[in-house]
Amino acid sequence: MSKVGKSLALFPEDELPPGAPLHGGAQQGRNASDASGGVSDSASGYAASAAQRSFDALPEQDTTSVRLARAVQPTFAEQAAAQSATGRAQLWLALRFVAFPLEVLCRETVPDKATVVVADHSGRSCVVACDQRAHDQGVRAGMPLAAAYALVHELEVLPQDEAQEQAALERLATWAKKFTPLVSLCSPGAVLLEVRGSLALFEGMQGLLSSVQRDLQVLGFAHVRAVAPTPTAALWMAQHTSSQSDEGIALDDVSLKAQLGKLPVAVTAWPEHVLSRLQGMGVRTLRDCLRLPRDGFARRMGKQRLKELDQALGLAPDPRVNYQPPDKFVARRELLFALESVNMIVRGLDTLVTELCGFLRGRQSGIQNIRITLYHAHTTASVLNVGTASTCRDPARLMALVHEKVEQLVLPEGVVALSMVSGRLYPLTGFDGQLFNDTAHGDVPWPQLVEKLRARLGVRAVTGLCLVPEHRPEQAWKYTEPGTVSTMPVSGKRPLWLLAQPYRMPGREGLPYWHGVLTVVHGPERIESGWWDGQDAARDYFVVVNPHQLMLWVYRERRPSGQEAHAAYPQPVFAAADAVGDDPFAAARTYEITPDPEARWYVHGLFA
Amino acid sequence: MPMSDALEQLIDHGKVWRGGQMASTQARVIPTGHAVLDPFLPGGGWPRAALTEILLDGPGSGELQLVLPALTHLCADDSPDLNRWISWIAPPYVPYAPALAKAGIKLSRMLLVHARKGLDVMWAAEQALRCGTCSAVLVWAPKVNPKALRRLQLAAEEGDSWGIVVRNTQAQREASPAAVRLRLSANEAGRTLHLLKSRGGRPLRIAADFLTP
Repeated sequence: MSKVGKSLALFPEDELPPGAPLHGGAQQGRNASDASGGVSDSASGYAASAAQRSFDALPEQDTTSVRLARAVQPTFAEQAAAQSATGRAQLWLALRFVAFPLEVLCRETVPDKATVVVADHSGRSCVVACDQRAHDQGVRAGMPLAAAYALVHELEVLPQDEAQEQAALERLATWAKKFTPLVSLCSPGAVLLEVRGSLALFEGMQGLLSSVQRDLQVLGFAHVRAVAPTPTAALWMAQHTSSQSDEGIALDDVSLKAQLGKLPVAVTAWPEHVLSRLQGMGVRTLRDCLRLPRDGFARRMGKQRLKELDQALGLAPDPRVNYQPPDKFVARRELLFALESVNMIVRGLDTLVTELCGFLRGRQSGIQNIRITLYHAHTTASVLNVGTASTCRDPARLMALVHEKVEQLVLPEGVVALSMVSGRLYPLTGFDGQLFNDTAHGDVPWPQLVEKLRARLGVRAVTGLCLVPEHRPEQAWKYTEPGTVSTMPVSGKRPLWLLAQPYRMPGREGLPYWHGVLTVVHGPERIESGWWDGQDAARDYFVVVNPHQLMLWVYRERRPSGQEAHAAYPQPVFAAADAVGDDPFAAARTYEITPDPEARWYVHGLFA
Repeated sequence: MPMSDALEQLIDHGKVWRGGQMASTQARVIPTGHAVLDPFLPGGGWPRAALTEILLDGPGSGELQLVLPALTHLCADDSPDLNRWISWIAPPYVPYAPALAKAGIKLSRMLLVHARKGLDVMWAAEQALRCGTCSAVLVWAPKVNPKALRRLQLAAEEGDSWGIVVRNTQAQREASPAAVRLRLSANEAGRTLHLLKSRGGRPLRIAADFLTP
């Protein structure tokens, strides 16, 4: 069975040689779990049979034995059908960014002239990308710059920035992690996503594609896409696609073969001499290629080309490097023109926030703060710190906060560059949706209210309140983060309002006085504490009422000013009218304050 | 007697509404917790999803005593508003945590906003009322025009939140969109509560001895 004829066409007519499973079972279910794999070994379970057989088999046999073998083996189509039934195959989405060199350089700003991006090709400046206006006047990619000038006189020429392209491509790959954990970079200007495992989540291929489309519109990248069971095929099909309308979608191996056959050989990006040799042989499309004898093809064009063809058809393993996003989101965007208006700046930041949220989703994490820097041409940069009350990766929520911050900003001059740096990442898994909306009042979750208030008023202006186990009244509470739970028993009569600073009451005839003579309702309560931390308190507290029905919490300082804790205490200022009985408060209510011109009285709280 | 019969018939017909009946139409109220006050308020309590305006000679002269039982009611274990928040916007002094905890306020559901500028205070109040997260919002309002109060009233309706606006007595002459408007005054004889306006009720004046803690 392993004898393969010399004249065996690779894939004669519409029948393909029997193949091994396209991709191994090891790959199965990967999307759901493993985001950390280094290499996507797209055919780890690949049984060496088919490709080995057709490559290395000796060419001595005649074709009859081959026909015999084919009759025994299942056809390629049958095998593929069996595979898709068990759902073992992969599905790759290729996104090719058609105007990548141009869009990287000018995304927010649109130059007012026809624009081209040029790069050096063996000493000559060549156009690598052009905008619509230049395209309309006949400029094409690959043209020498001089030719472009001949066609368009008013031309804006930008040098290609490959470092920035690479950075932008990595950010796009980071963003693409929100769709699948298996993302691979393909220079120049394309990314590959393995999406078989994501189809259920995004409600099928159409749902996934429209999600991708929606996001890319915000990010501002023109793109074409193709879907195929192998990464190489997806990439080739995307190469051939020039617009959204003629995109290639091959969901199974049968349509893969049909779609692939139609492609011109140029999509393979093989070296020039290989392509011209093929052209000389009259080979125009990949289908023509596949009709050629394998060994002859390998000898003339190189083994690598044959391997690539096999990879495209899923007959050879095609490992792809899985992109690993960085630990921190750092993005910087240069603008061609200084932005003055808040709206333009917000729009620029919107794309950064979308990228950030894709990055966070890919890493299964959220953030609590981001730092945005707006650079100016002459003055120091403006920095915005945006904080959220709880870990989050919701673009709409972050954008609302960013908008609030930017609006408050007074810009000294136009903004020439934007940058965004994420703070620490916190683990944040997905949320469970609710079948029924049974929250009666959950219109806006409280953390969002807190962060909205904080965005305008400052972090310290919005607080919660909690109890502290402490005798000194001014230390028995503190401001905390909203939502802090504190419980402890509270004893004694305490006012609802506390003055931030005790207010020294003016005395009158040796008695405390506050808009009238004060009557004791309750007291004294002696509080003496804190000798150990320098904020020593020795006080007798009274609840008093003034003639205007104002109920106050007042105290008399028990230590003369400047006296230390160990000094002798002055005489008590109150005298018990009756002997203290069983109920200490019953007696306390009858206390009267003895006039004492030396006594220092303070108001500490209000019972209003 | 025939005259009285005719009157009864007219009333039974259902086309005549009497002022006192209006009270019963407003069902969504929070009990004030003051037995003396409840009968005088339409529906027998503070109106939910609306503003209550309290006019005082100075901040901290009885407003908390007045609303505290109702706030406690919102924090009670069997209250449907248990998990909602009570926001305090620009309180004049420090709301004293031990006393509030003792009274039954849930401190972990209290939000304090220390805004200084008048515009910020009104903005924060509007956000808190509108968002629906807060069951009650207390605002110690600066001098504001009726238009700003109208915004708060609409926000309270939208967020189903009880807004309590504490203002100076000087504002009594201004028009107000609040559902309930009252003034607290005090002299040697005691405290008085003037119910200046209550939607579906009528103005009156009652002794406010019940406010003494």
